[in-house]
Amino acid sequence: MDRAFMAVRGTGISFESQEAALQFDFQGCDMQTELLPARLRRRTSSATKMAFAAAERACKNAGISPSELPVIFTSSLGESGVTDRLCSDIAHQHLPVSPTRFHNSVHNTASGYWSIAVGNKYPAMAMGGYHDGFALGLLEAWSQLHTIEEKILLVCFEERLPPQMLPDNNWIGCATAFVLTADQTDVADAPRLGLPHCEDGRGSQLNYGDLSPALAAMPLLQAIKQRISGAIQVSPAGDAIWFAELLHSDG
Amino acid sequence: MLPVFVTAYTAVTACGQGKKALLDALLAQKSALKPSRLIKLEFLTYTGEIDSPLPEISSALQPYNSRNARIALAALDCEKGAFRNAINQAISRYGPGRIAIIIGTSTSGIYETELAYQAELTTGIRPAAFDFKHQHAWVATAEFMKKELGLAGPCYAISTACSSSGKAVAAGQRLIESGIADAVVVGGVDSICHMTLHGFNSLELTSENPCRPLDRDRDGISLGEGAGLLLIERSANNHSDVQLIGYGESSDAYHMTAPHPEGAGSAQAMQSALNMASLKPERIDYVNLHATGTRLNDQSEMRAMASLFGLNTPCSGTKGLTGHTLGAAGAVEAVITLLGLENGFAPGTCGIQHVDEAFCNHVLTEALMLSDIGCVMSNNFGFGGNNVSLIFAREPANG
Repeated sequence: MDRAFMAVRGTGISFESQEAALQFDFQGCDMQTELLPARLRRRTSSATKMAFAAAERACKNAGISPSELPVIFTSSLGESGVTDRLCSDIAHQHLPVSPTRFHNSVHNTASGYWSIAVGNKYPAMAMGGYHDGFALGLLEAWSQLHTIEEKILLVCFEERLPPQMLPDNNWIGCATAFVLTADQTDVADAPRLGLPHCEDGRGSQLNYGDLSPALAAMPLLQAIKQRISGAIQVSPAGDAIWFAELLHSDG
Repeated sequence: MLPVFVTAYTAVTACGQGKKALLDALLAQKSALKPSRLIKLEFLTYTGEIDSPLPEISSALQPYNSRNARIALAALDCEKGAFRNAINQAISRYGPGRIAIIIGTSTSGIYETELAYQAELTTGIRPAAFDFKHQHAWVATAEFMKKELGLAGPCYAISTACSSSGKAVAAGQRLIESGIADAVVVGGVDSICHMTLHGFNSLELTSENPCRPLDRDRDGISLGEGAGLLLIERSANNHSDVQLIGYGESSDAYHMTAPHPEGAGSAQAMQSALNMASLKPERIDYVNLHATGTRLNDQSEMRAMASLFGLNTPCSGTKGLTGHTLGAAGAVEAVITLLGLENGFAPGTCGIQHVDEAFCNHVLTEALMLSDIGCVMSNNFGFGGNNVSLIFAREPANG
């Protein structure tokens, strides 16, 4: 077992719109999820639905029960749509605010509902790193797998930001999910991923992450699909860029 | 678990700026809660607002200018920049790239977004100074602090409601143990904002009086604001004999806002922390409770305490002093716990008049002098059933 790497046991993706799913060649990867109960589906955001759908696909792909996985959810603002509506309600003095809307605005809304829906009592992390959020989620996963956990579900999700918060953004609503394990011995053919590291960004390639922070995972998903080994860019172009080394047993 | 040394810590709350102000308030048990002032409300509630002036953000970092960032800057610069000086020493020891920063927050700079929405509604013009990315995105204040301090290691935010900054402390330890960093600035920052005041009021969780955690007649929370910061390091460098020796995290998997009635999730977090520290419950000399002052939260936590510790471990809640600082609460209360550890006392429960008869635990109403205090625990629990418990020790872990 090579302690410098973690094994990628399963992946999943979901898109807010069917057009975007088609554009990235993930036809049918919509927000449908069996794990979100109907009564919650009506009162949760696209962000939470996307996170659920991607997470569910990754767990199925890995063949690991969602109730057995500590989770890390990462996003720039998480429930941005709910937050936008609350700020608007407050500005318009539409008071009192909806209590459901309020508790559905916290960043750990998706991870909280996930733990309830799948009966998961393991630790749940909700974090943010803006454009570097996916890379830092991988780093947090790596640190957990090297200290206290044996397996992790990492979910990176992002709604299109409301225009009043960030005018002229064209973020694509998307969630990506990865089931990662520390032990690679019983899964010799699983791709292995190293600790993300940061490099000076000058001369870097543009990345899908420039379109939307959640798409920063797209090159990694494509490299896993195509069994490409090497340093994969896991954050958008900028002054400093994150890379993670991906290894395949045949590469 | 690799114990890490706490080489510096500080807090800014309604009690004042820096360790001394908070220590004085703890020993005098002097509440800083007053009727809400920063934001005009149609309901009565008390808040722990920082009334002392906050420093201005430098011109180079103006895009980050938010109340949250100014509270963070106050924590770096109060008491003659004691905390910033400790970080500068760490930079000279390890280099800026080996120092990470992880900051917990529940609402980041939403206060600026709220003001921008109001201004745009009134004038039709979006305020030029409003900058979502640098003020409100979860990582905004952490990134501001990273630039202000000249750090170059990993920088991220944790936002799990009221457990955010307790979890930031745990995450910082992992970065050191896994070799990613040699030192980590961990903590939490949250400011008063419209959303949490209105939101907790809608949930009927705010009190019309200064909050009374653990009291027979407690009837809700008082919100607060503040920053708590800790510098944790791989080595003591002869500055510190205080260590983080364990932490535990768990999920209730029960309800978004209500705690598990028997405190199963919080007991799990405390048990995990004890296991990590290889300590039996009786080795803990004091527990700083989450103790928000709502009927259900306090009851759930006290049941968890009784199931794990029995009834003799001294415990108290300190939100009657500072208000509930939400995403900063984990770090602010870690600082309170550390002040007790270093100064030989366990804080009392400010605001309490009659301990709830249902709680047979050893609730401290007044501060208790404990000259041989050695191991202390601090608990924080948040929405989504998100729990964290930290254990600090004054002696070496095997001592």
